Amino acid sequence: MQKFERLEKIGEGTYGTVFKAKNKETQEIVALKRVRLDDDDEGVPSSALREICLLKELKHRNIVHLHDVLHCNRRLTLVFECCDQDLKKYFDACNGEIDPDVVKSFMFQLLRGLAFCHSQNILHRDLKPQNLLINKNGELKLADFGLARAFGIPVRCFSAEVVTLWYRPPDVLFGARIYTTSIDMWSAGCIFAEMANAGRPLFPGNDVDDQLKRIFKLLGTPTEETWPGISKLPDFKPYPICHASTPLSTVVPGLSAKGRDLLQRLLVCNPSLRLSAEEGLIHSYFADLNPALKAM
Amino acid sequence: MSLRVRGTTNILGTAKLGMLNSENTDARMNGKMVTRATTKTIKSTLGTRGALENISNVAKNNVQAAAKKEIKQKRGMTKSKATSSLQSVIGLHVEPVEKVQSPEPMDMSEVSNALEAFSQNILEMGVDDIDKDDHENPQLCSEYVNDIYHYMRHLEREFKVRSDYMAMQEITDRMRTILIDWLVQVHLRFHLLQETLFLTIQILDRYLEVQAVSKTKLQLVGVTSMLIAAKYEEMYPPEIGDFVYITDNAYSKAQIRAMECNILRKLDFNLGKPLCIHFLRRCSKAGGVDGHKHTLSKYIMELTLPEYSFVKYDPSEIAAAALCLSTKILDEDMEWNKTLVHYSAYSEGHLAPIVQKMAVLLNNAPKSKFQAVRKKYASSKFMSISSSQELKSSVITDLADENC
Repeated sequence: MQKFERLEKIGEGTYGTVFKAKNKETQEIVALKRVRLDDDDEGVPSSALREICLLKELKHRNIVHLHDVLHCNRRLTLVFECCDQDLKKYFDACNGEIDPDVVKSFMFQLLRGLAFCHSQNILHRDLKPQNLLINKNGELKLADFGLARAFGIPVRCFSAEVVTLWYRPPDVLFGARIYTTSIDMWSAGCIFAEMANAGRPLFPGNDVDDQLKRIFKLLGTPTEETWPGISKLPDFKPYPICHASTPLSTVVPGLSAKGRDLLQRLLVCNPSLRLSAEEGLIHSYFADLNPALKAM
Repeated sequence: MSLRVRGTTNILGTAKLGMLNSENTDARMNGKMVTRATTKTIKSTLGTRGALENISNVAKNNVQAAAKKEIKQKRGMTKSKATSSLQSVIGLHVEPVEKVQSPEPMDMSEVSNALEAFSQNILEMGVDDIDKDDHENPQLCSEYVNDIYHYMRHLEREFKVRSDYMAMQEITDRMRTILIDWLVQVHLRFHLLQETLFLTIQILDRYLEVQAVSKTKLQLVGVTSMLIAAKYEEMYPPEIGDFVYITDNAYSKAQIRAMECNILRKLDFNLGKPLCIHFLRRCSKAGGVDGHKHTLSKYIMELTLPEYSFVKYDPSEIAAAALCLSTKILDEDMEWNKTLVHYSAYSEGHLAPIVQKMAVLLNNAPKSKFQAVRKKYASSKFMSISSSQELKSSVITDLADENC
């Protein structure tokens, strides 16, 4: 640990504290995530174990880079590349205004990072602005894989207690335990709308019930016809029938027609009809994206 | 049985390996491991994790979900949902991306065109596109499935275990067999997922490949491998205390924790190696096989686990060969067609020597000293496949004989 000079604390994670630090030899700034291994516990927490294993595999420019894992005494230290801020803080600094080109660039990078995870059979399961890091070159990186996991095909039952409420898809809110890459695509849609509105969350629900009401108010209440099997979900209960009445142009005024089309395809209650990251990347919304960014 | 317990004792220097065989153990476990017992009751009433793991993917198990919830409440487990981020306090401005002349917009229809082209291509080769009807079922990840399997094949080569690692070990392949036979029983007792068992053995082999282990520590490495595999795969992994108990206190919690760090470090935290069960599901789908053939393949794959001579094969080879043998036994008319060759990536000729070795294993299974896998697959949960009449057929003996 002598190798690093600890600077300030930058966050408290699922299973450890995150510090900013400087590598004394190279002067490189890194982020250190510390995991305490106490005498009387279960050893390496499974969230840390999975995060390390998964990030060891996921080497991509839109996924936070895990440089190293140090183990000494009763502590594991994960050495990450350090990004300047997360998307939440970026919003805070925006003062309610955001350049539409930045939204497009961030969204593209988010989808590209996700497409990479999904093609390597990994679900993130906790996408939200706090877990997307932004560096000073305008690069976006998926971070915090503490809830992530690898999946097999066919997908089997997983925990329904995943994804922070505001970004949790309706199927999981109804207790679905068989889900797949579509779980992350809903979150990506919510984040897209939030970016377009310079940081105003799309569905800031107070609890599961309120969350579903907000979603159905905007998108219309799904039925057995629009979503076969919905009533068989573990925690399903009927909600009053709403019809989508507010046009997306009022909800996300900053977004172009093509952008709204992409958003519409992501925010689909029925998970089997939700767009995939791969499909999202070739959506016409990104047609005029900086080719240099696309080529990266 | 008593012979075997003694044998175990002599070789590994610990009397605990045989314990699962005694009826007393059942009584003790029921008393002590209350949480496990709860799991067992609930699961057994539901008949979950059946022999055929839902290849057809009907959305299911609402009851199971409810039951799991109940388990969770009973165990008093709560999972914190809070998550972290590598936040920074420096508010640096992000430079807007420079706008450049745009290329032609891409149309969404290109995706479906590409998919159709793909289907067309493989159809021309006489291979069925086994995913073509799955686009409506997200559980099958049809759009990523080929990428994912491609990636898995790459990984299995990258993490190949050296097949001669035992030469540098104080332990012998027989000790490995005894350990794995016992681990299969522990796995069954703990009601863990199929993946967990295969991952356990993979972690074990990869550790033994790089680290000399003494006889007295082999069981420690075994249970710790299972602990790590369970943490990676399971929603509710067993606790370290459960593993201490199952070894009859042969090792302390602190020893298991220390071994956990040791194994993770030696493996450099790379656990994401694909398992033969992953490949078997793909092959079974390509072959359109029924539950019997799939279950028999799983039985054959598990029979290879305690056999050191199978370490040299890739998981995808084991899976394909197991299915190939299983179809030979249960369906003489079924051939290893182009679709199976395409999705398994192996020709029948390539698989032949492995199939033959497996036939020998299957033939010898009834008289083997190690009965954990065979006993497990004799239960109705696994379609009593290991005691089925078909396994007495001359097909197996003939295949096995060719070996001589």
